[in-house]
Amino acid sequence: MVNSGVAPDGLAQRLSELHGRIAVVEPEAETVSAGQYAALLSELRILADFIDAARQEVAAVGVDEIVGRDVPAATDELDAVVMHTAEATGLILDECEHLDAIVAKTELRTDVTAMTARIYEACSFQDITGQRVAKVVHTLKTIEAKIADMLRVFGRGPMETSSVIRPVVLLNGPQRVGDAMDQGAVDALLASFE
Amino acid sequence: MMDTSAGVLIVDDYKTMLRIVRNLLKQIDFHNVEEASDGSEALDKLRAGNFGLVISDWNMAPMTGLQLLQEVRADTRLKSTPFIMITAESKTENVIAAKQAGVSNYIVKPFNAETLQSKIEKVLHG
Repeated sequence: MVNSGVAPDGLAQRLSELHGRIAVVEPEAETVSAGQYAALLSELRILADFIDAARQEVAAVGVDEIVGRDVPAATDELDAVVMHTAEATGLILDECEHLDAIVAKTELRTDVTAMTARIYEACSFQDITGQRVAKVVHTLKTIEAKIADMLRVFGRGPMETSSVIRPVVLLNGPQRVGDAMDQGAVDALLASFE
Repeated sequence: MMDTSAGVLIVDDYKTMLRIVRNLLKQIDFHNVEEASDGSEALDKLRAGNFGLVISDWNMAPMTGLQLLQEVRADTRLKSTPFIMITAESKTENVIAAKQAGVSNYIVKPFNAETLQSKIEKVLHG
């Protein structure tokens, strides 16, 4: 891999510096010395080398595969995880509803509905995991778009990403334990308003 | 004994959650339950119907649960309807925003049946 320290910001900075030099040279173009031309050409060669090194580094990293294959494959896998867990959760709920209906008019009702209530509660995991996966998919899509933008900066032409970034309707979404309030803390906060 | 005759509107864009909440409500004898998949559909149903309780998710499009709550509290006929938010949004600022908008109670996902029942009892019977 070419060690050029390539970054779009670095390239933009070099271009800006060069543009500044041209602006200084132009008004007195007729009086520019051979030494100044040589210096300008030297800068252009350095810039050309910089861009070429960047292209080689991008090619070595295999970003085409990352953007065109790896990211879409990863998001497809995550979408499949959500779909399969949703299907499985649906089947579990089907059976629980059947159980509730079977015992509705029997003496087993209290015991069985307590059990199915626990199962219903547990099935809400699917909502939480779905939201977490949506956050990860959004992050992957954003990385994909940023890579495509970087490639355009290096003159790789318009690059197709796997899909548009779907807006995430989550405000913050599920938090890690300790990063937000649990039910007890929420109750205490609400009580403080009363 | 809790009065379970009130019509309940449950709002969530996730069908599995609607089904879970409906089943838990059924187990505590709430049988008059309707569903909506986002805030705007819920608002239409609330304005057309007669509900004694709203149980809503927060994150939905195009109208969020918080926006629905604000619309409900701004509506002359609906403004006193008990409104419980059930959401994974559990940052302090979220709870405060919901409280300022007039939420009656707030349940953090994942929740259990006892929490749901106790919050419903509290908002319906003080």
